[in-house]
Amino acid sequence: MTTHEVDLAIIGAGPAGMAAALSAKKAGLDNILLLERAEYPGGLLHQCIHNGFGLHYFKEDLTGPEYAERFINKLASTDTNLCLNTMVTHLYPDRTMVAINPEWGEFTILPKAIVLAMGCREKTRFAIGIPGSRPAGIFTAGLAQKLVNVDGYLPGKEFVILGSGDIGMIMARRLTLEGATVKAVVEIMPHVGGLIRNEVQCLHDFNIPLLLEHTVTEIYGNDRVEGVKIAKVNANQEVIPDIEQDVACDCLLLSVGLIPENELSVEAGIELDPRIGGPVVDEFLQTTVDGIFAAGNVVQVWDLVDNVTFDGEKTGRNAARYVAGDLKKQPQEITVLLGENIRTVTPHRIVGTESAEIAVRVERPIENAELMVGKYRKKYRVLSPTEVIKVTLKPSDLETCWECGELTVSCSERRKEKAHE
Amino acid sequence: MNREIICIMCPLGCRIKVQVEGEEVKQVEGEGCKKGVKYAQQEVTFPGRILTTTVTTDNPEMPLLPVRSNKALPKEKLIECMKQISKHSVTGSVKLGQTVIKNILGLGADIVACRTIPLKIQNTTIG
Repeated sequence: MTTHEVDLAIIGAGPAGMAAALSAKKAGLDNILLLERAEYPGGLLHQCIHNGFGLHYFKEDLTGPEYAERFINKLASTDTNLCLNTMVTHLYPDRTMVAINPEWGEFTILPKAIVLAMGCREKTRFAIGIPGSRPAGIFTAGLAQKLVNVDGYLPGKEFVILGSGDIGMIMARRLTLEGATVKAVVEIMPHVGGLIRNEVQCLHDFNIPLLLEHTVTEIYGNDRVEGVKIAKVNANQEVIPDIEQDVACDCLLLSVGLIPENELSVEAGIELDPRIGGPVVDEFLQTTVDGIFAAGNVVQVWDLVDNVTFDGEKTGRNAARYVAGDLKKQPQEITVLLGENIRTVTPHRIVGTESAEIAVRVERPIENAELMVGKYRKKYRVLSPTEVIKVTLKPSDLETCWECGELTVSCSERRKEKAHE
Repeated sequence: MNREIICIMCPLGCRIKVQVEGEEVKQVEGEGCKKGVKYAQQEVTFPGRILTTTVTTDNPEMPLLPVRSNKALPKEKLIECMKQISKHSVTGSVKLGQTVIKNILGLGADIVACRTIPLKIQNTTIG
């Protein structure tokens, strides 16, 4: 088994990994190995053929493949070692990695720093426990997206889509354009799971019925899906008996959420956030294992690829600083706590005295909102759980937090009388 | 006539009220920014969308080429455009941005390639 010593090893050449490689290179690291299990870099961007990418990063409206190609071209102009068809099979707390590919067989990598950029994967039927038989015709929305957009297969003729995440709504439009019928998009929450602009341009534009506060309670069919039972739920997401309808279809797509992919992180002894499923990180995006950083959807599932790219760039820069011995930590740290109406916050802790960027997702939609991060305040017209809000805290915003060691993030409605003062 | 438009320019999704008389926009309110005014006016007069889809290739490793319209197409013509696009395919190498269908259905927009075939990728040789 051969052994490679490198400055930085990056696991995953999707948007986060490619950005990490480019920014680490720019920050002065030379010996970078970018490991990717697929045949080409770009990750999920290849199957996301719709537009809406790059509005923040490039100030242009790009499709997924166009966004990917810009980074693939940038990578090609550097001497980054891109290692395709390669699966990382082990990651140990001392940063030793084992990987395998068809050309070299199994090999060991000894990196000075690592960036985890494995992304996320889709929840399946079993994650949400739909009873019924196990016929053909049940797909996660992302798998159906790959079949339609990359491989050229239409997996059914009549669809019901459970979950109104962005991929589910985008697939509703895509399937309609390809001649299939989408009978309903079914969402258990009282609001769509994805971005509102996708509700408009994917569902409203094509008159696709959206059933809010509904769920699928049974799947019919033995060899092939023949239909599903759709039921209304109450405010506690419990099925209301007798308000049910059977809908005939030959395909059920599931767009019921994404989970960061962290088997390797667990093996390396990295602490995970139980709410999100991604590594606990500090503001440098360093995990709880020294020298291992994490970027993009492996940490938390982002709303926009642009944010994944920014995240990747941050880890590349910080990994370069780590290798150079230039990442300064304080002896004590600030723990970031979830306050009122906050679903997730990253980073989980603050360990340095530089500016720190905080990414927040609220629990429920809120109008005339005020976001409070310690002493920092920011007002918003509307905040929705579908978007990630980023704020940058100056060192002075955090001064008082060092004494108590805590920083609470919360979000509440601004009181009317206050607004008039 | 009054219409409520949900703005799709950014994730905020402002609900904009538009007062229309015939073809003319009389009043716009509820927008969060200038982009919303423009979007709402356009949405009631000429609602358009970028169309993204695929065409087949003769490359077995990449059987589909993602394509897009380079300008917004009228919303009600999208299905008709899809039918037109399905008659087309590409052969050999393709450049990003290359025109696949010029002036589709005479609507003033071209259908262009969203990726290069084949992609130039240098796999490492350090092994």
